[in-house]
Amino acid sequence: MSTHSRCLRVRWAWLALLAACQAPHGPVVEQPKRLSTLHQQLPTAPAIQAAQPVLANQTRIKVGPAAMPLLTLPWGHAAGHLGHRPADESIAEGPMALDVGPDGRIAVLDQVHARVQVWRDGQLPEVLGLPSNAFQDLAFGPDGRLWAMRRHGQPEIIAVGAVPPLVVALAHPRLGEPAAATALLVGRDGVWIERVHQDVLHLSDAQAGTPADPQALLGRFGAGQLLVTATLRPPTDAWVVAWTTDGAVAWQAQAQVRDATNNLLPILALREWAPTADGGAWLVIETAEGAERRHQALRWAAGGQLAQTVDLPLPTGPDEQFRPYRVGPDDALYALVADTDAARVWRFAP
Amino acid sequence: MKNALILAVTALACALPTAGRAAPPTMTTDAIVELSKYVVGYSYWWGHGRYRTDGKEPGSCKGNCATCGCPQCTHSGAYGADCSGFVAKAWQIPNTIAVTTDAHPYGTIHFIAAGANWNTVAKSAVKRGDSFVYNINGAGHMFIYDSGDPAGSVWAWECKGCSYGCVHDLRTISSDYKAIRRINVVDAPDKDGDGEPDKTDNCQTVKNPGQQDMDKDGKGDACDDDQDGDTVANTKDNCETVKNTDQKNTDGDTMGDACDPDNDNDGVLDAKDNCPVDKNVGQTDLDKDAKGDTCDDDKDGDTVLNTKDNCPEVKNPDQLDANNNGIGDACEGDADKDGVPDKTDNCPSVKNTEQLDMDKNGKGDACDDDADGDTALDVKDNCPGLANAAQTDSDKDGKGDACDPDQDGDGVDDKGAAAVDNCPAVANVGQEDGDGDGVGDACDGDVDGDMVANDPDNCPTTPNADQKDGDGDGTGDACAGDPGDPSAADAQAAAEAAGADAAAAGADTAAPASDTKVAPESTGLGAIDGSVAANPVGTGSTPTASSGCQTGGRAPAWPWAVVLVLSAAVVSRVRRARLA
Repeated sequence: MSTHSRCLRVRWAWLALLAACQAPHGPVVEQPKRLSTLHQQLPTAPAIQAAQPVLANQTRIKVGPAAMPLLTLPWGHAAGHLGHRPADESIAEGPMALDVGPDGRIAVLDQVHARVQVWRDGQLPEVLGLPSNAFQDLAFGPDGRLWAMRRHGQPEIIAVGAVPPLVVALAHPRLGEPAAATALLVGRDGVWIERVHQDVLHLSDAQAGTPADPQALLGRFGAGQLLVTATLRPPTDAWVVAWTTDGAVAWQAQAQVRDATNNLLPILALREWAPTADGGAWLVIETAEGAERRHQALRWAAGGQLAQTVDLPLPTGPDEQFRPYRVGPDDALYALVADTDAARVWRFAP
Repeated sequence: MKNALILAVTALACALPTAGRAAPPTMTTDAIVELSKYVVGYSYWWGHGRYRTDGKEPGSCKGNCATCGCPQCTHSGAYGADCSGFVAKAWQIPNTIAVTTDAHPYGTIHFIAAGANWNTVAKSAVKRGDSFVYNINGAGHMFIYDSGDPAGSVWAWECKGCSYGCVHDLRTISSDYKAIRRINVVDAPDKDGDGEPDKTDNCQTVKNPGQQDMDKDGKGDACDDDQDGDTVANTKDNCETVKNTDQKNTDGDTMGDACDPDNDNDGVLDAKDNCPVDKNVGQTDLDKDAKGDTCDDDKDGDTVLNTKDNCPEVKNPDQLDANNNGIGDACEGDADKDGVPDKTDNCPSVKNTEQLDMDKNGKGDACDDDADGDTALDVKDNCPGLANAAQTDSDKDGKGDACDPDQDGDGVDDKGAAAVDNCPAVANVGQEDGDGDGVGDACDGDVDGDMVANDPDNCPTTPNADQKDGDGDGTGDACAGDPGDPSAADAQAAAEAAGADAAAAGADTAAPASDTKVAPESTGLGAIDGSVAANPVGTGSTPTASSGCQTGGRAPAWPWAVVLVLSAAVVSRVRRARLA
């Protein structure tokens, strides 16, 4: 009988001791996994308000002091709280994405509760239900309508709360797998998706109909006239390129970050990038100084001159959010940062 | 007691040297990938690892707690896996086992540490079939790496969680993850060493890690002799990477139209060329419709095609042709080519599309030798753009008063934000104004401001409202140096007394003046302006006040003019009294 066969005879004990089997330097004590029979008595989830169409021209969100988050959203069930499931042999599930509407409303995709919560000036959030808790991204259209995308299971893009429902299949001849959709974008001409962080594909018009001109454009668009791509060149460089809709380069800029003694820091990952209305762009990167992880935002003005750098608050634990950063219509950078007790929405003015 | 014994035995077994255990069997990366693919669509099942190769019975997972993860979740069905259960199954560790058999030999807590069946590898060296894992404070996740840049986005197979199940996902990898590789993995044969196994390589003998295949014919571009699939071999194709079976090449250069940035070779790139396939260096566009005239079948934009247009370059949607000669009325006899037919052109021989005619005499300004119609020919007109028949030019500077901002030429503009000439029609560079009434002495009818006009004033430059003249010689007592008059000191005293009286009189008259709403502009200078207005330039008469000043301060003979000047003097005194 092999060592592992013997171990499997006693599952409970085996789980506890297997760590010791694998550890090279002394035993690693692992807590046994809890069994599903130990389900706690769970509180009842709050009722979700009836879906309502999202209207434009609402009041603007008040902007707090620079050092304070706009919104602090504790983990929980109630309106204004967000669902959060810590990782245990899975990804940590929590708020996936945020976006800021043309009227200043802030929407957060509360994935665990299969809902979107929308905040406007000093009010309790509007709560809009989603048909599944596998939605990962959301985006406001210029008309104030809110759209949400799910990439797995039944891949689709829906207009949140629309009556009658507006549904767009997450499919395009150039997309391949639906999971290749890396961002949802909504323009005046309807719904677009970003494909593998490279180009954007026009999926539907604003009424979920087939677009008259289903074109593809290089880069990611935003409020202005340009599109932006971002490319990582390890270990220390990233490049941001602003494109015109004709595919011409409007400007390009090299991104580097340095420590206090002017040494280049490695750029570990690109988190978000988007053009600004004034022809510039934001880029959010993950970097590290020694063992210390950092998230940093860089902003370029129109023409590609570096205009601003911002040290962003760090999320705790592995970041499994889909799009936690977004450039708002006011050209500010918004961040949804998950912490141990809450998620916080920050605004960084240009 | 029994449990304690079992634990002790298990512990002893685990403590045996690793070398004593069987190593996992050798696998190819292809085999790992194949086993990974099957998991897609299966449900997340915490603490388990079991799925099928036919996709049947995917099961489902439902979260029961919004602030806690699995195991507080409910799984339904017989198949599913959590992240580590899936990886162990795809890697077939510690031993070969059917994917349909439930097993969960390791958790992320194990994979994150060194193990007998896997090794840590650098993220930059990660290969297909490797895994990424993290575990921090008991919470962890892992997945099988498929492709992509670990520093950017990667494709991965993973049992992601209760909400998503097991998926093939494009995702990012945070810096908390580390890469591990199963031991005893052999790469599939790869002749060209480009990382793509021969079995799936679209160019087996040419290195092409990207596997680009433009025409999707299964043969990679790197080894496809017709990479754009237009049936023209690359070596003969005038657009190797753009499908153009017709090989059309308008400008006859080396590049086909389909990939030529300047198809007509006119030096203007197609993207900005208003005729991309017709040479038109000038880019003329008569109707401004963004289509150059050279390639515009309706140049003048009158909706009639050039070939049928009786005036192709003149907009005439009505196509009127009175004499039926085939040439539209709109362009017939248009000698100056200004688009206006001679019949209606106010300058038939001079191009003047705008047809401006200042004096409305039917002759356009462009050909009218007296454009402003003031009878002075433009070549001699001292204000050619403004009718001024009198051609008055007070300062003789060649610019008529009507259009001269400084008609007396004293260097002080008649109107303006800063200095304003206190005698606009009389040159007075110094702008002297003895009585401070805003009317320069050079044109002031009452220079000393004693309310007695200069002409009857027996002391015109010394205020003496009483006009006392002890010796009756016509020169007031106040005038210094008049023999027979009181001393200058007495005269001064008298003058001051007169001034005080005058001020008192002014104060008395101030109220009525205000009541009549006399604007400041109506004082002094305003009165003169009023006179000018009443005697406009061109009538032949000379402005009253101007003539008074121009004749050395002599008042005009007309009684009404005297009244005007006196009125101005009174108001001036009132102003001074107010200021005081």
